[in-house]
Amino acid sequence: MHSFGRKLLGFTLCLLLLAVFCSHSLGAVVAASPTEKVRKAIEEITAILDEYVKNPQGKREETLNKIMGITDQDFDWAEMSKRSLGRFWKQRTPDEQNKFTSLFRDLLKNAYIGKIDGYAGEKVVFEGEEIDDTYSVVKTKIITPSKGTEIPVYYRLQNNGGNWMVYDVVIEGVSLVNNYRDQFNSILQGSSYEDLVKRIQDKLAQDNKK
Amino acid sequence: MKKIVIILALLVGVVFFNHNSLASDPAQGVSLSANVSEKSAEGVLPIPDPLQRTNRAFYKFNDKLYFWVLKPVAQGYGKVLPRPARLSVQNFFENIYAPVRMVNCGLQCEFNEASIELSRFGLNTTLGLAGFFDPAKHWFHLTPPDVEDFGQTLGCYLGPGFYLNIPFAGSSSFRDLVGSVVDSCIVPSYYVLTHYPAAYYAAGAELLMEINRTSLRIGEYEEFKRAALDPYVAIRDAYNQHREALIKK
Repeated sequence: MHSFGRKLLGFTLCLLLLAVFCSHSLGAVVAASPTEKVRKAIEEITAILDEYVKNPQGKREETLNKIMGITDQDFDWAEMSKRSLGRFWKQRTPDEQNKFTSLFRDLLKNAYIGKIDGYAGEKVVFEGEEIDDTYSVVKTKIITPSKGTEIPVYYRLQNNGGNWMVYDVVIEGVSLVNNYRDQFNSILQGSSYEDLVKRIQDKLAQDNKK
Repeated sequence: MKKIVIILALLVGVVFFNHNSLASDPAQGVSLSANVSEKSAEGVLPIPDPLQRTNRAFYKFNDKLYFWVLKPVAQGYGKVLPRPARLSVQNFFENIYAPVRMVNCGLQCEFNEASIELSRFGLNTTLGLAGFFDPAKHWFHLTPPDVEDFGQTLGCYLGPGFYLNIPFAGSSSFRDLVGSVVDSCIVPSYYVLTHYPAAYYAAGAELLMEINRTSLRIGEYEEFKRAALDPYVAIRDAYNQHREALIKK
């Protein structure tokens, strides 16, 4: 009995050590700067796309899901949905907010299907970051040699308890969240929230048929 | 046994502290959330759109024009002319517009940029064989500065006014329409407009520029539309945000 107690203690100790270790290694991830965070995500996505370009047949959906898996770690979908709904967000119940968040994610996923096939070995150059308290901007440029274009893309991040998460992407000065907010607002002003949800669902269903 | 208990207590303390320190940050986030509405309002105010009905009609027209005419023509053109040649044609047209950009750099007191535009224009018109090539960038490392036009010059003093969607030309605003009329006085094609046979060439050149540009960007509008819930509003807002960002630079 005595030895059993000791074993149990030893076991608990190990567990606790593990917990401490985990929270420390978590701390290491937490310390990642906004640029490191964005760079890591872009590198992972580029690797997936390079793989896809080599052998694209029938791997579209799978590739897209892998990319969405990475963005799930770095994109704060709830924050993006909240900001894109603006003042209408507060009028929704938590359940509606959750449903809207997943709908918003689907909307962006749908938007990126075409972009996968448009990938042409683009290069991303990092041009610095700005940190203002809990907000930061990571400035990048996407260079497409075959098109002769250089497109500035800025990532806006928010510090969520030590973890930097992307809440907006600004392409050539156009904020994605602001752009959706203008669209959602213009629909919500003319009709109801239920109508907006239905329109998004209809659009997704229609695009999936194509 | 006592030792173990002490170590255990210490460990629990460390774990708790760790979690506490992690938890304290979201709490900070909550206290800052009062500023979030302020921060989320950052960026550009939506552009007024009192002429929405006609603008929407013209948008529809431009949309059909793209899919039925411009896109097939540009695709055919792209099959005839290889991509490097089309990039050269693009260089040529960009070079023609260099005086417009230079004057507007000057008007916005960006004299360094104005001098870069002037040097690029001189070098590319001569060494670059009428602007088809870009030796200023490749040999002299003079990268093109940000594009300036009179709409942006006005933007230093004025807001956009209201949104306009113009047949054949697409998105604009009251301010930018005035700006492009002023700019057209600087483009060489304006002066040939008064001589009739040359006017045809000028119109033809404008058309070629548009087809060439489109051939290099096929698929971009389609992708934009796919991402949008209401493409008209999306384009209106994207135009406005993009213009305001250019003015701020």
